[in-house]
Amino acid sequence: MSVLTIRKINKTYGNEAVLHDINIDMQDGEFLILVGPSGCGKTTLLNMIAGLESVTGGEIAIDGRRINGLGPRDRNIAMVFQSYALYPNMTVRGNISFGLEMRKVPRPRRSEIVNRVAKTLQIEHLLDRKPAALSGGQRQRVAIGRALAREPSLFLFDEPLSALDAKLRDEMRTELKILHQRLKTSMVYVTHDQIEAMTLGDRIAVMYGGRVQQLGAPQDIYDNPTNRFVAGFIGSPAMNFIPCELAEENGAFGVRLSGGEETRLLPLPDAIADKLKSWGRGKAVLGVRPEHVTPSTAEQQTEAVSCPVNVVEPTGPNTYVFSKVNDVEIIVRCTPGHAPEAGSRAKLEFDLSKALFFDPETDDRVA
Amino acid sequence: MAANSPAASAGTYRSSRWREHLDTVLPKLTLVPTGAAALIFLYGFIAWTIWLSFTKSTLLPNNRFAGLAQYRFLFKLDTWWVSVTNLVIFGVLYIVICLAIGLFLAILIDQKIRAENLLRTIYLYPLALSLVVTGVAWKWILNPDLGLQSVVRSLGFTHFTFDWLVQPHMAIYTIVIAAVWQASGFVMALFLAGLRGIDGAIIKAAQIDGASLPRIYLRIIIPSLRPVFFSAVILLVSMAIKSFDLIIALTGGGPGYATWLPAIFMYNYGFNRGQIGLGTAAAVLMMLAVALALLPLILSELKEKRRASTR
Amino acid sequence: MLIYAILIFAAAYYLLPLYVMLTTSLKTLHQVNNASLLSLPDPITFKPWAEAWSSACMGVNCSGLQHYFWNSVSFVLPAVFISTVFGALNGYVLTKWQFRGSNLFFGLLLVGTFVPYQMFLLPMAWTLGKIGLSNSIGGLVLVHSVYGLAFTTLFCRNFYVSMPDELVKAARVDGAGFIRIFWRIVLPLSLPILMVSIIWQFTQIWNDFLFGIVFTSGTHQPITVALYNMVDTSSTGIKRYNVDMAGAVITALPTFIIYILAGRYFVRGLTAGSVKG
Repeated sequence: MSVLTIRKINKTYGNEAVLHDINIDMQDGEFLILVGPSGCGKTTLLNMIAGLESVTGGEIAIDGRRINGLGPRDRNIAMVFQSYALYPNMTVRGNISFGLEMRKVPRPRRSEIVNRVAKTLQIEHLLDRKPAALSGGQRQRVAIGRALAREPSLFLFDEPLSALDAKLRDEMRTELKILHQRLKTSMVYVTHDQIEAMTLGDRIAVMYGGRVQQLGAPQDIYDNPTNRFVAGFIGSPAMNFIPCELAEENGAFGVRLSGGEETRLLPLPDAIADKLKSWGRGKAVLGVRPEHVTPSTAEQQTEAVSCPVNVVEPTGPNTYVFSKVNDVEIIVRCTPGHAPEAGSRAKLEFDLSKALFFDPETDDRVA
Repeated sequence: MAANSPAASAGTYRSSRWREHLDTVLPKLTLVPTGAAALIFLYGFIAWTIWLSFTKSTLLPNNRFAGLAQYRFLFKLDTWWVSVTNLVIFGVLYIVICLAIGLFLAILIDQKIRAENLLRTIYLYPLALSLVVTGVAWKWILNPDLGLQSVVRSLGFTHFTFDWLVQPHMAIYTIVIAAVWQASGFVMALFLAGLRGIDGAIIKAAQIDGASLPRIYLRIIIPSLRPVFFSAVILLVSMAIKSFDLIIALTGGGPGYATWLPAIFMYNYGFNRGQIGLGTAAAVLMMLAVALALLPLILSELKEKRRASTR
Repeated sequence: MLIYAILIFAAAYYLLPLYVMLTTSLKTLHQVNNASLLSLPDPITFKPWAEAWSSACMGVNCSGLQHYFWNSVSFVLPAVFISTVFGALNGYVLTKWQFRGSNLFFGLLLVGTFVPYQMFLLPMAWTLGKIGLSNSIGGLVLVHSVYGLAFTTLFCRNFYVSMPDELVKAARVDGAGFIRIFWRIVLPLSLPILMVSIIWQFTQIWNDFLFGIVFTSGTHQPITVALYNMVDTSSTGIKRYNVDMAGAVITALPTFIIYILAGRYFVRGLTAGSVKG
C-alpha cells in the first residue's frame, strides 16, 4: 500500500509558480529522496506534505487519506529540521515527549516511549540535559528521537545533515541508513547533496525549476538520466558535456572530437548510432562521465584523441586530470599511477558505449 | 498508536479543520486590540488634531471651520517665533554636541580601557533619570546665588559671572547644557556598540597598509559608523522636538517666554489659555517638523542602502 | 594616561549633578545657604528627606511626596504589564504567524514612535472625559499602555525575528497550536526581551511628565508632577533647596535602582529602539 500519494500538486505564491504538476507515489517503508539545487522547490514540497504550507492545486494523501487542509498535527507525520529546532527551554526528555504530551498520551506511557527511543538512539545518558549542552551529533540524534517517539506513518527530513561538519555528516548518514533498515519506516528526505541522495535513497526524485525531472532508483538515475540537468546534477565530479558534430565517414557513424590539434571521428556503437540517426540532426551534446574517459596506455591508439593536460589534481584514491576537448573543459578520472603530467599532452580514450547524447536546444536526452 | 481508524476519520477531519481555522483566526484576533488602539488613539487622534487646527476651537473643541486662520494667527505671534528660533538653536546645538561628545567618549572607551563598565555606567545613568529631576538638579546648580557662580567666586574669581539661567538671551543655553548632560552618554553607548561591531581585521589591514591611528579613525572607522549616526540623529531630532519636561522644570519657559519651545507653546495655548485651535495648529507644525527633519534622513539612508546593494 | 584624565573628567561632569543632589539633600538649610555648593554635608541631616516624603507643600497641600509616589506605582505597574504583554503577543504574531498585511500593520504601528505626543493631547483629554477616566489612575494606565505599545511591539518583534521559525514549525508538527506554542515554547525563551521591555516601559512611564500634567490634577498626579509643584511652591517662599533635592532623589530612585541593577537590559532596550529606521 502506498503511504504517500502526491497527485498533480501545484504551488504558486502570488503570480509566481514554484511547483508544477508534481506526481509521486511512495510505498510503505520506502526511503524517498527529494534532491535538487536550492530554489528547486524541494523544501516547499516537503512543507506541503507536512502541512506547514498550503496546497494551491492537486491532492496529497497519507495512508490513502486525503490530507489537504489538515493541520500538521493531524497528518500523522513527524519532521526533523535542518537546524534540529530542539526546544531550548526543555530537556532532552521534554523535547522527545512534547509531541506525545500534545497528543494527550498518558504520562507513564510517555516515559516508556522516551526510554525506548533513547535506548534505540543511545542517548539515555543525555535525557536530562538541555539542548545547549549537547554536541551537534547529539542534537541530531535527539531531533530524530523526537520524531521516532511519535511512531508516525511518515517521517520527513529537511536537510538534517547539512549543519554538521564533514566527518560527522558521513557518520550520521550511515547511522540513518542503518536506522531505516532496522525500523523499516517510510521516510521522505530533502537534500541538496547528491551523494546523500545516492547513498540513502531507495528512490530519488531529482527536482529542478519546480518540476520532478526524474524519479527512480539511484543507480538507474546515474546510468540513465532523462535530461542534461539530471545527468549533470547526479555524480561527482559532474558529467562532462561536450558539444560535438555527428557525422558518417566510410560507413561509420560517429562523433567528431578534437583536443586542439587534429580532429578525430570516433565511431559510436550501433544502438546509440541508430537512435541518433533517427533523431536526424548534425549537432548534439555528448555526455560522458569522468570515469569513462581514460588516458590511453597503448602508444598508437587510433580511437584516442590527443588532448592537453592542463591541471592534475590527486585526491588519494583517484587523480583528476583537467583537459580540453572541442574547446570545453573536461575532467578525466585516472588511477593515481597512470596520470599524465600537467603541461604535457595525453591520448584520451572515450568509452562511447556509456556515452549519452543530449539535444543542444532542449537539453533532453536523445540517445 | 497514533493511527486513525477510517471510521473516526470524518469526525477527526472536521475537528482538525476547525483547529486549523482557529490557528489562522487567533493570530489576527490577537492583533485586534493593538490595531484598534492604533486606529483610534494614533491615526484617529492625528486626524482629529489636524481637523481641530482648522476650526475656531477655543476653550472647548468645536467644528466651526476656520480654514487657515489659526495658522495665520500663529504666524503673527511673537511667542511662536521665539519658540521656533529656540528650537533651532537648541536642536542644532543639542544634536551636534551630543554627537561630538558621544563619539569622542566612545572612541576613548574603545581603547581597551580599564574600568570600562564603571565608566559606561556613569556616563549613561542620566538617561535613567526623569527630565524633571534633571531640570530640578540643574536649576539648583546653575542658580546664580548659591550655585556654580558662587563656587567659582569663592575660589577667588570674584567677578566671575555665570547667570545664564536668568538672562533671557542666554537661558536657552542652560537647557542645552542639561539636555546634553542627559543624553550624550546614550549617544556614547550607541557609538560604542557601532565601534564594537566593526571587524577588527579591517583595522589590522589598514595598519599593515601603513595608516596612522587618527587616519584610520577618520578614513575608515568613522565613515563606517554611518548607520549609527543615522539612528542617533533620528532619536535626537525627535527628542529635541518633543522637549518639554526639562524646560518646564529648569526655566519654566522663562525668563518671560525666552525659553519657550513649540511643545511649551502648544501646552500653554492648548491647555492654559483655552486656545485649542492655536494649540493644535502648533502640534501639527511640530509633527510636520519631525517629518521634514526625518524624511530626508530616511530617504538618503535608503538610497545609500540601495547604492550599497547594487554595487 | 591622557585618555584616563579625559575619561575621569567626563565622569566628574556626569556625576556632578548626582553628587550635588545627594549632598544638598543631606544638608541643613543653614549650610545650603552659607556653604559652598560642593561642600560635604556637615552635620548630616535626614530631615529634608523626611520633609520631602511626608510634609513638603505642593501648593496648599502639605503632605509630601509619599502619596504621589504610590500614585505613580499604582499606574506604572499595570501600564508596564499591559503594554509588555501585548507587545510580546504582537511580536509573536508579526514574526511567527505572518499573514497578508502583517508587515503593513507593523509599519503603521511604528509611526507611533515618531509622532510628537502633542498630537494626541487634546483629543485624549476630551476622550478621557467622555469615558469617565479624566483625572484618574485608570486614565493614565490607558494612555501609557496605548502609547507604549509601539515600542514594546518593536522590541519583541525584533527579538522574535531572530528566533528560528523552525521551532514553531516543529511545535506545530508536534501538535501544538497558536496559544500553546506561545506559552510553552516562545514565552520561556523571551525572558531577555521581556526584561528589556519592562525596564524600558517602567523608566518611560515613571519618568513621564507631559501626560501627568495634562491629564491629572490635584491628588491624582504622578510623582514627577508633584515634584515639579513642590519645587515651584518652595520657590515662592524661602527656597529650600535641600528639600527639593531630597524630593528629586526620591523621584529618581526607582528608575535609578533599576538602572544600577539591570543596566545591561536598559542599554539593550535603547539600542534596540534605535535600530527602528
